[in-house]
Amino acid sequence: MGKSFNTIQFHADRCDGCGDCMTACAQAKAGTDDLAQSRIRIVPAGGGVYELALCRQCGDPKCVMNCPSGALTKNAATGVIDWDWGKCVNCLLCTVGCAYAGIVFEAEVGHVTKCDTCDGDPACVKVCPHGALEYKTVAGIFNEYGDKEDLFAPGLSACQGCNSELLIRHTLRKVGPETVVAAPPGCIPGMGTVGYNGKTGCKVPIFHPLLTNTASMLAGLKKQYNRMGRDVTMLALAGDGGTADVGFQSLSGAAERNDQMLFVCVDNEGYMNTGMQASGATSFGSWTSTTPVGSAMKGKSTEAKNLPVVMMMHNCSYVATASTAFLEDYYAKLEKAIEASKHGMAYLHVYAPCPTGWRFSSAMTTQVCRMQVLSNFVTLWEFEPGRGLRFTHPVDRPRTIEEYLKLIGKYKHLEPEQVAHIRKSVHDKVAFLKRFAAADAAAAAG
Amino acid sequence: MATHSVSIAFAGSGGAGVMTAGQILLDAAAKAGYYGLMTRSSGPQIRGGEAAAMVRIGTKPIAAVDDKFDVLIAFDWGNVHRFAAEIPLLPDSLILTDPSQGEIHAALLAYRTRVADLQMAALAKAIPGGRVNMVGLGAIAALIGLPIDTVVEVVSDQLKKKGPEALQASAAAIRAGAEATAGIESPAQLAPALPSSVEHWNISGNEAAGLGAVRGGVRFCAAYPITPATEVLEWLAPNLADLGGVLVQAEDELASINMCLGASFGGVPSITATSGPGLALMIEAIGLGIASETPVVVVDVMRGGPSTGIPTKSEQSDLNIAIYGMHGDAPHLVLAPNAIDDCVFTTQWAVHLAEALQCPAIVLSDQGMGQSRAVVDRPADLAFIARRVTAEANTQGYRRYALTGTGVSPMAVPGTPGCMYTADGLEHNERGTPSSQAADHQKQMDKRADKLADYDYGNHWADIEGDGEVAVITWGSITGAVREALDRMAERGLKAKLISVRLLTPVQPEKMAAALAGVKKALVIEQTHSAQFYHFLRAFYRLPAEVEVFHRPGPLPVRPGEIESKLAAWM
Repeated sequence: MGKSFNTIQFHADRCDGCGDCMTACAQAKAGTDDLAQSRIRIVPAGGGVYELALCRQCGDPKCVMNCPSGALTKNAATGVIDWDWGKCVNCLLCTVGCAYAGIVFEAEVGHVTKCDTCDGDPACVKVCPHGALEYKTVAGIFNEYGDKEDLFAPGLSACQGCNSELLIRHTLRKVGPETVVAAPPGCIPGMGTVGYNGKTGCKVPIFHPLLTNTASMLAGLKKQYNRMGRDVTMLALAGDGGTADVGFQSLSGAAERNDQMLFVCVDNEGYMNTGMQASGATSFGSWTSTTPVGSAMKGKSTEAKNLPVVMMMHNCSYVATASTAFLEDYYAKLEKAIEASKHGMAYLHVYAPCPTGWRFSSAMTTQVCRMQVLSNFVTLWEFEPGRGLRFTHPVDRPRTIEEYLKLIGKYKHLEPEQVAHIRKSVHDKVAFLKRFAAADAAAAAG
Repeated sequence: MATHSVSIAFAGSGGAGVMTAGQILLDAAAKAGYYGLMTRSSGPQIRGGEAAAMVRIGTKPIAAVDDKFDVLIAFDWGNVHRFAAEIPLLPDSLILTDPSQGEIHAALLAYRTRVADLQMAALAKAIPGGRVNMVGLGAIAALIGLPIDTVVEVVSDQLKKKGPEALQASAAAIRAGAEATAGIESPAQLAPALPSSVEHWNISGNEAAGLGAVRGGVRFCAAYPITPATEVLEWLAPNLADLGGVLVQAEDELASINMCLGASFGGVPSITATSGPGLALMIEAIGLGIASETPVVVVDVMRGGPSTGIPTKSEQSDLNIAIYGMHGDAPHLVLAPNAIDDCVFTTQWAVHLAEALQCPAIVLSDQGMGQSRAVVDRPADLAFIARRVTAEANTQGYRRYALTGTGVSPMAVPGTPGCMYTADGLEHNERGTPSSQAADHQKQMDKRADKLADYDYGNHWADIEGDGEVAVITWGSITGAVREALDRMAERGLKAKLISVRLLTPVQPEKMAAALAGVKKALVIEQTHSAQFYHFLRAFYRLPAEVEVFHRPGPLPVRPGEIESKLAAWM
């Protein structure tokens, strides 16, 4: 698998052209306020839109190919394209090759300059007041994961655009082959993990238990492995029905006993595998086949259970929410959850917007995942006994709830009062969690 | 040659529009005055799995799938070979294939049928907005002699909402498909529909069960979705609401059945619908209903078992759990509809009996009836309306579990002045006070058994047809196939009697004895692996000296032909 590197990401939609990044760069790299010496340039493209001129540290760099003197090299360890003044002959062929204006001649100093990411701590990113620049540091994780074996055979028949497959592939890579998977009835077996179509499946042992009793089954199995003295991870991959509804009693019991397992709830807000019936995790206002939209009903009339909070109240060894649009966040949590599952119950609640059942284009899944978080419709947090609740990706200036709802067909019918209801409940839910987080932070400080 | 029944299978990948095509063909047949039956089959996996819609159309009511299909049309060949066993073909059957959509699998070629090419994808592509399944539908209609205009009318009715362009595209695709069949010899042309004075209904077994419940007076339902029973609650949700009733989607089967017990204790006839795994979870609460004499109806739409089994396919293997599942001696009602339209009658009767006898009733439907649709004569309106014997306010010395002659004692609605009582799963005395006294246990056991045993169930306990020295005893959805087999035997001059048992418990030994009078040989037919029905009959009934059993598990439907050959060899 190819190697990936950390990189500076530009969000054009957040840039207002203030130029703080250029000042910071000029200061950091040349000790001057002369913007001409900045290696990052924000360029007006008309209509209030700005473009970025900056070295992209290309994987297949034209500048390196063009350089006749060997002054430019791709650093295999950092991914940065290093420039060596000692070898440079000032031919400027590198500037001809670059499509991003990422390497330019600077008259003031008499040679080309380019971004070196400040050795992995870019000054520009730190000063951007709008979050338009972001230093992506996930490369190490991707590299680590890429080197691990994919324990799902290719060819799973999940619906197009389903994020569960992504989630499960990444999860199993990390959890590793010393694992037994339990997948109760639902989309996860439905997509072929249990080998329905005769060709695919899981490369670790998999048990297809009852919808009611996944956690109990794994609890029993874990006891047997403990008896044998073998360290095997018990991994449940369950839907929200098998977790929050019919599966809840056994999960609650296992959590109360702090049985050692990693229970991943893949929350697509309902029974999407069997024809989109509502579950206890279906959000307010959602159309489903059992909460239809007509003259009498306007979708689901009650709120979703906040299951991760309920699990937190069981004082599990680890509880976290996660989104596949924020994989870095997920990886960090997965690592903690695996560790926690060696001692007790680790519960991960992963949001899984469903293109089939929620009625949005299958190309939009990641965007829907992202907007769930950015609108605070869901919040990313973790809980550890003793440390309490901590937000891992706080969103202090959320997008409007309408921006999220309008992406999804199952909310198409919502009336203004319903939207107002959702807005308020999202607000209340975040405020509720914040009280926990604040109290826990105060306790830790004091 | 014109025929009285034609069978067509539509197959393809999920999302290809297989079910839509089948549904429209059935609707068009109904509109043209024919009867019909559509069964469906699909793999257990989610989108992209294979699907088949199997439609049989005829001039007379149809209650079973036929032995073979006249036409198999595949929109693509993805995994269609998995249906090879479900879609039996004969050499004079026809496979319609689009060569651009893959090769016919060897499993289907093994039938050595005629094959004709139909460029469905190309024809659909030539029409803006045209869809392959509409082209296929047009071709089928033309081949079996269903008027194309009728098909177009049905599609127009259903697509009204989608606007004139969608309508036009579909109509053009249907006509293009019909025209493309020129030169393909028809495997079977339908005889003209017979005139009928009875209104025809197009209904599924699950809808029919919902209708029967509502007609019987049910105004409360709590249920948890489970394949293949979910359509019962989906049908009941809006229809109960229209009648001022209530439907609650519960978080699991334990909640569903206990909500029903609660509602029923409060005085309202209640129902829940589930399938095998759900029934297993409900058993403890059904026992509570029996002991506390709280009426409730549980519709079990059976699927392949045990455990998660085969959720999308049919079997009759929940008979044992329905009859014997409860712990303790727990007399209760078990009924089974024997046709799609009979789901109306039997469910309504079950509600009536449960209310009259203050006892839980289990209705054993199955996937083969529940999720199939049939064009049937409108089911008759029945006088069975739930009537519970209730207690008058301030009844002197009210005893909830009083020993009356009939075993049925007045059940007070909670809060009725002067009629306070404990509804109890603990053994109790006549007042409802918990008791572990031998005398109370004996009396209350007798009461609960006698009220069921002494009730007059009339002729509805079984459908009995024909006569002769040979009887076929069966139950449930396979009755249609048995009946068709017996009709064919009769045409060959071989007479046999049909006994299709609707009331499984309490057993009716005297009525069975009367039905079997003069019968020398009996053949028991059922869709289980372990011959559950046969053993049940052996345990409770005096059968003729010579008894045979034909039993096999699902998921393949029991077809008339296999019964016919079994019978022919045996008679």
